[in-house]
Amino acid sequence: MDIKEKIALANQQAVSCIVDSDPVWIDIQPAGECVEGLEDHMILHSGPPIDYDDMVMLHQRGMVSAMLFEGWAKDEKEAIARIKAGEVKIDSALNHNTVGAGTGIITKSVAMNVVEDKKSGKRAATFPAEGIKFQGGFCGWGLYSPEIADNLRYMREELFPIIRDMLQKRGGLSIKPILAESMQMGDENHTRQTASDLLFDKQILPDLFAMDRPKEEIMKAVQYIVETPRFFHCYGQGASRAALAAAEGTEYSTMVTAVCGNGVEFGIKIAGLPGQWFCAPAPMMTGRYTSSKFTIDDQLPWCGDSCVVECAGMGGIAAAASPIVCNLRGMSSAEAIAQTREMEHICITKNHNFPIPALDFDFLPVGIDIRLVLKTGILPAIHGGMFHKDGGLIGAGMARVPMECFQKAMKAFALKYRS
Amino acid sequence: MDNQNCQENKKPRVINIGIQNFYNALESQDVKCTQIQWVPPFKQDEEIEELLDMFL
Repeated sequence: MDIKEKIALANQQAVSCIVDSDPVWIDIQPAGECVEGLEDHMILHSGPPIDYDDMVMLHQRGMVSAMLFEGWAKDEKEAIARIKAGEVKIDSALNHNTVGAGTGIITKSVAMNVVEDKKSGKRAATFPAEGIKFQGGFCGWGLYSPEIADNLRYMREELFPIIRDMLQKRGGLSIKPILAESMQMGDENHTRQTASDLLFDKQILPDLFAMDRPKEEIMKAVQYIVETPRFFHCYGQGASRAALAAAEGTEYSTMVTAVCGNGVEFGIKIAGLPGQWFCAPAPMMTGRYTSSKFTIDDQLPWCGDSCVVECAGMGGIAAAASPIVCNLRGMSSAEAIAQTREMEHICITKNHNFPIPALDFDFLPVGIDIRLVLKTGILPAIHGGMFHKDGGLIGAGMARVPMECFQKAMKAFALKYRS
Repeated sequence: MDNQNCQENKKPRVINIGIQNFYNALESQDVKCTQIQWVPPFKQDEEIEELLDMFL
């Protein structure tokens, strides 16, 4: 078998880890118990690895927030001194079996959703939304206040036990049917989860109401779930991360397994070179702001790991599934379809789980191949939320993964695999 | 050929290959236009082109 045949075979194996995955939400656990390699006095963040001094303000603030939340420092000054003295380890969330949405601040005692891919046995942990009031507070924006910390403890100690009981009684919740059906109802499952939220609620609310618990407890859990916008996002990310974890380490594969930014650099990983990062300056997103007072000067370059869903064939790859999301940025339905058709040129195969009405029930492309990106010059389209430099969501839009990431990955691939 | 048909035949009918803005501009002026998506073949630097020949 020559090298081209080996790569083709490896890529089929890697992409089947996504297409054939069977993700199930199985538990809620403290990060220290479900995030592999997460040690005491360790803080995870989104994007490729970066030193504290090089971080954008949001990540630096996130580090301080984590120190205070875990009780590793009594105030901001002490937290910064301890971080700079190297008393805590800092690492990229994507170097572990998790995803850093937004700033992606994760420490041992925050509660995480656990998704298991029943096909491979791989597990991924994702940070749950913090409710309507603090949505994107700690993990997303790296914010910290006594109220946010109290809410995290409330989630962990009061809110989640009942949801966890419910989950164990029903034997987990299968994620893939929700993703598949919502893709036919206008979601691309990165920027939009309107349908998947409702499908998720339809599955779990009857079981929550059937719990033998005080009505107030049940209603608090129900309110948390139904009032939080894009509640399902973390489950789509967990399903994607677990599937991609199964693909990581596939020898000879040129399939992309991670795409993310830290506000400074943007990085990708590929299946055949596990543990290696290929980085370029983080791109700016273009799209629509939530208010006319915002301009590009307010905007942070790409920050967050949520493009894990693009790696699994959703989000920007699945634009045709959600002309609504694309229209918010001024695109027509035809342009949304064209975006997915364009992505077909850089993907390994099509995912038969996702037939899309706007494509006349053709399937969505899946599995970004660095060789095809380099050959065609077509850069993967990625959807996401726009960050203000000072924190907070100021819009939604899209960007393209920088070419430099793929060029570096190709050169590193050659170093390892060229005979 | 009557006058109306004659006028109709004088209107330009365009096939635009590539840049979408040209198509949009003609459409907005009520000019019949068919768009064909096309971009020039992409070229990487020599080293990457060599690696692509080897691996793709």
